[in-house]
Order: sequence, then C-alpha cells, then structure tokens
Amino acid sequence: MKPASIWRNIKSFLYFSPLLIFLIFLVLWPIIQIWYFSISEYGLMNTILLINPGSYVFDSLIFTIQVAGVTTILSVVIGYLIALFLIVRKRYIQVVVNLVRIPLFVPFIVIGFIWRAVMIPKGYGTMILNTIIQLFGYEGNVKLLGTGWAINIAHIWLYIPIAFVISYAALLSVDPDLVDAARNLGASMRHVLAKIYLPLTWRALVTSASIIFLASFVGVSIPLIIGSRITYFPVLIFYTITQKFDLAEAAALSSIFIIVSIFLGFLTYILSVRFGIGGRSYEGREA
Amino acid sequence: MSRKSSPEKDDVSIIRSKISRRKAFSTAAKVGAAAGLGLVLGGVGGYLVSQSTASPATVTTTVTQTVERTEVVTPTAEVKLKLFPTRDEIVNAAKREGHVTVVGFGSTAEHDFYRRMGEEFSKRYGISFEYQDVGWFKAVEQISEEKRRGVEEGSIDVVMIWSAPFAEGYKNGIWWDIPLVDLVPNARTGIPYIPLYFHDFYHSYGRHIPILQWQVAMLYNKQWVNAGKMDSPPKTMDELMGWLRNNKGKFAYCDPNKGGSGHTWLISVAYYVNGYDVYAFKPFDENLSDNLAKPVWQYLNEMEQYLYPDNPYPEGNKATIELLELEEVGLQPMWTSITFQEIQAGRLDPEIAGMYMIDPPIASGGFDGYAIPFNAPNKFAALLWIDYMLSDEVQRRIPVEIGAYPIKTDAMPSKVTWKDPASGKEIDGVGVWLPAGIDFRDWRNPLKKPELRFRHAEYMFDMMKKWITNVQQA
Repeated sequence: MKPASIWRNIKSFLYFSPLLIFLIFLVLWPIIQIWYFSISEYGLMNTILLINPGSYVFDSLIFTIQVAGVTTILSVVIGYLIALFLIVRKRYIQVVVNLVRIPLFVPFIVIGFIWRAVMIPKGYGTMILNTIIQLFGYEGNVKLLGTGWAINIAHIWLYIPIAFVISYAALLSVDPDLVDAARNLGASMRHVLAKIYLPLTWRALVTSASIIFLASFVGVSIPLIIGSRITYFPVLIFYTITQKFDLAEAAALSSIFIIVSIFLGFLTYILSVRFGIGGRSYEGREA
Repeated sequence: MSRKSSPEKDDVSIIRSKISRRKAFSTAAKVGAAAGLGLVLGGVGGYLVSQSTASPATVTTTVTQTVERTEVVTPTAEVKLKLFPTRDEIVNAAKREGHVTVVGFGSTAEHDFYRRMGEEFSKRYGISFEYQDVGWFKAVEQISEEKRRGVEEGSIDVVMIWSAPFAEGYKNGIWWDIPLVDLVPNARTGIPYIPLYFHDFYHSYGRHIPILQWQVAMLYNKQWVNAGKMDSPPKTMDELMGWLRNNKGKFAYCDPNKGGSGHTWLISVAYYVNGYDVYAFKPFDENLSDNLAKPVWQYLNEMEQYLYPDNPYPEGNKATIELLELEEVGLQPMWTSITFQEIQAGRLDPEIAGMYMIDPPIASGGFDGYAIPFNAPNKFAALLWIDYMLSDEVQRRIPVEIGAYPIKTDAMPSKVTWKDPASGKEIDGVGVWLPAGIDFRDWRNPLKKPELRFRHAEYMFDMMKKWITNVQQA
C-alpha cells in the first residue's frame, strides 16, 4: 500500500473517530454486555436451545414476525392509497393530512388502552365487527383480544401516518405533467398507477415498509396492554423480568431478539438498496 | 433544469474535489488538537466530578454529617448499635437525619396509599418524605450499580420489594445486612413467624420486613348464581372439576406467566394435587419438580376443555377480571386487592362480586415489604418509616384502602367496610373483596386448620415456564 493511501486511511479514521467512539460506547457496548451476560450466566447452548422449533420462545418469535409483517403490509398499502388519493383528487388535502397525522402525537400507552377498550368483548369495535359479520348471515361471535389481529389493528392505526408521510412526499415529487400526458393519451388510472406512480415511488414504499416493520417488531407497550395468547417477543422479555426476575433468561432472550432484529434490519436495508437502485427514477429517465 | 446547476452535480463536484496536502495537514492538526483538548478537558471535568461525589461540596455539611454518622451508622458504630433500640432512640436519630426516600411499586391506588401514609408520617415526625413510584426493578438496578462502583452513600432509604429480587439482591449484598426485625419495635410482635424470616420460601434472614399479605381467592358472579345462570361455586377443590363440567365455559384463570393471580393459582393447584408438605421448606430440585408437575399438567389439561373457550388464560390480572366485569365468565381466582380497586374505580359492580376462599386455601400471594439498601443515607428514618407502616393505625387501613390483608394479625379490623360513592351504600368487604369462608385469626394460627400456605417461588417459577408447553400448547 502506498504511503499516500495509508495517510488517507488514517485521515478518514481520524475524521470518523468521534462517531465511532460514540457508536461503540453508546450502542455496541450495551449490546456486547447483554451478550456477555447471556453467555456467562445462561450459557450459549441453553440460549440456542431456547429457540428450538416448537419451543414457546420460537413460537413467540414467529408470531411476532408474522404480526409485524401483516402490520407492515397493511400500513404501507393504506398509507400509500391515502397519499395517492390526495395527489389524484387534490381536495381536502390540509384536513386529511392533519387528521392522518394524529396518531403520531398520541402516546403508545394511550393507543394501547384506546384499542383495548374498543376490542374487549362487548366493546364498540367487537360489537360493530360482529354486527357486520351477522349481516352476511354468519354467527358473529368474533373475539379480537388475545389474537394477533388486535395488535395488528392498533399498530396499523399507529403506523399509517409514517407510511402516508413518506409516500405522500414521494408522490409529490412525481412530475404531474407525466400523469397528465398519460391521461391525455388515454391511460386509465390503473395504468397510471402501475406504469408511473409505482415505478417512481418504490423507494418510498420499501423505506416506509422497513421502518414500520422494525418499529412494530420491537414495540412493547401496545402488545403489552392489548395482550395476546402467544406472547409478543418484547413482551416475553418484559414478563421474564417482572414476573420471574430471571435476568439471565431475559438476557438470553434479548440476545436472540437483537440478533434477529439486526438480521431483519439488514435484510430490509438490502431490499431497500436493491429496489432503490433497480427502481427507475424520474431524474434517471430524464438523464 | 440544466445539469450544471443541479444540486446532485454540486455534491459530486464537492466530493470529487481534491484537498491539498497543506490543507489536509492543517485539518488533521486541528482535529488532533481539538481531540487532545477535549480529552484534557474531559479528564479534568471527570476528575472534578468524581472528587465532588466523593465528598460533598460544602465543608460545613460534610462535618455535620460525619459527626452524626460516627455515632450511629458508620461500621465502627454499627457494632455498638443496639439490637433492640427503643422507639424514642430511633425517632431521635431519624429526626437528626430529617429525610426519608421510599421506593414503592404497585397499582395507582397502592401508590396513592403509600403517598398518603408518607404525608401523615411527615406531619407526625417532622421528617421530610419523598415517595418514588419507579418500582423495585429500577431501585435494585440502581443499588446494584452503586454496590459495584462502591458508592458509600446512595439516595434511596427504603425499597418495597417482592421475594425473588430481594433474594437475588441479598446474594449480591445490596441490602443493609442487619436483622431489621430486631431493630423495628413494631416488627417484634404480631407478625407471623414464617413471613418474618422467609419470603416465598427464600430466606430473608430478617433483612426484609413484610408489611402486608397479598391474597388470591375465588371471585364469582353472585347475580348469575341468584338468577340460576350458574351453579353455586365449588366450596372445595375436590368439587371444582365437577362444577366446571356442569358450568362449561364459565371459568378462566390468568396466564401464569402474565399475572400473579395466575402463578399463585398454579402453585396452589400443585399443592392440592401433590400435597403442601411435599414443597414446603424443601430445597428446589428440578427432577422432583418435573415429576411432581406431571399430575398437575394432567389436572389442568383436563380442566381446559371446560374453560372460557374464547380466552381460557387471559393475558394478565386486569384482562382476567375484565372478563368477569363484562359477564363473560362467572368464576376465577383473583387478587383481593385488584378486586377492591376495580370496585373503587367503578368498573366492577359490588352487587355482582362475590369472593370466597376455596378449601384447601389458595396460597398467600406473597408478603411484600421493605428492605433497606446497604448505602441508604438515612437508615434510622428508614427504620422509623417501616415502624410507622407496621403501626396498628396504618395496618388497620390496609384492607379498607387497598384491599389486602395487614401483616399484623391483631390489626385486622373486625368489620371491613367501604362506602360506595355512587349508591351511598356501605358495603361489607367480607364476601365482596375479602374472602368469606375463612377465619382470618385462625388461618394465621399454625396450630389450626386450614393452614396458611406460602408459595414456593422456585417450584412456582419452574412450573410457570413449563406450563406453556405442557398446558397452553399441549
């Protein structure tokens, strides 16, 4: 290696060292401590055995991924459609934008209690749902609490604004002349969506999906208040401490959770980069 | 838009532009100098901060405190500390300290109760009272950290704590290692022997003083029974299965991993199936636990088919009592305290709530109480606070204000009533939030039956973990 390039590396390191030190002490060090505590107190083999397929920890992990996945898909789709509706219709924009953003200002605990009150047996939500089901000739005895759907509903309500804000910004950047031109040439709205809006806003969809997935995956307060028969993974860690005071097992569960979160986070990052590069941008087309 | 003026182009040109060697050296030198200066300033600041925590800033205060401590609290003085100090001696020493900080945990109603007691304590003794509702976990974490760092004077004087974290903390030396039961005048009489020295069968060595008895009993819907919608609830555990068969879907118990009423019920079922003596005071043995648990799983699995079908194991105490409030189930094991607090909050109609004790009785749900951190700054004020909480006047208020039993047997009022502000009616607590069918004083008498049963925490924790695969997922 040439001296000049060595010097350049040293220089880069010096520039980045404050950030590196910050990351090491405030982010990596606590994680390393948890892993160390987990291995020294609970044992590596025991930690691995915890996630044996069929074990309650494994079931909890799969359940959490499923719930977070459903929340992500529905939040992104609904948020995107609301944003698209505003772009296309160009009416009541200010009102809708402000209304959609309300959940962002409500504390998680409050959201949990609101939805719990709505979804308890004989709660308004359950009664309305059962009435709708009865209209179709079925028995209508659905109980939402205790199921993953209950967490889904509260999380979707919470995360739609995130999907909406990101999608709306991306849709605003689409040149309206393109849409007008397509419409003048006889393209249906479905075609405009498939050929113009979606190809130009993929990046926003994937970004909001990755943010929502990770936020839903690590969320603890709402699943804790709403509750589910299979325990949501972060809630499982919480109960391991508060109900059994088993710090070693809680550390082992946390280690598993951190590894899975990092893996899933990395996966969504890869996806967003892939779609970001692969998706054709408006600027790219012009260039 | 011309390409030259585009912002992307500007960014690229900035990134690609070469920095001259001189500029690079100059920048590196600046960064280095700034880092060096930062380290020096940080080091000096850190040194000053550590010095300032080691000794108080005001010299006068330091001298005063040192003199006070050498009399009573420093290790030299601890040797001279009387084992059975009089209340006056404690009061005088506590007044010199002048302040007490108490950490508590529990529901909002329980926090309010401790705060009220704190205000009254403060008025009586002229000692300032600070209540922190941060809970035991944060307190244990803080004291453990202080122990690790060797902080000799902490900021917490008393911690309300339950069995497992107390035992773990005792192992790690975070509690004041002195028999508090001999120091606090009100702890010397009237508290049953076992909770004084054991907590869920962990040894407490008198370093933990219980102040109340949490209790789970059977809560049922009286109106359903009166209306013939449900049979009279079973008086004994032997009758329970038959009752469940005849009243399908009307019983639910809290998920043992998500609420105390659930795991207290679980260990109580184990006592019923295998006998209490198999567990009581025995060291934990995992193999034995597995063998003993087999018939318990069989019993609970047989029970499952008769439970509330939509949610047989609700997710927590609150979710469980909610099912009874909504008239979804008619019988469940529930905390007396939660039942009372739900009535107070207007969520549970006292007209429908019926509470009784099944035979054999459900194990006591723990005798939570106080421990003093090893580095409590006001140890005598802490002792005085515990003494105050054990006084008859406070103990008598526990069943009436938070719905638990007092730890002092004689302090149990002969009549526990509560005036419902909605109806203006005075409600008798026994049979509504305190269980009917049990004589409290006889229950506390070890020579009489039914005996007061205690939870064996280690067997209970082991069963809680295995309940998921053996019952919930089976």
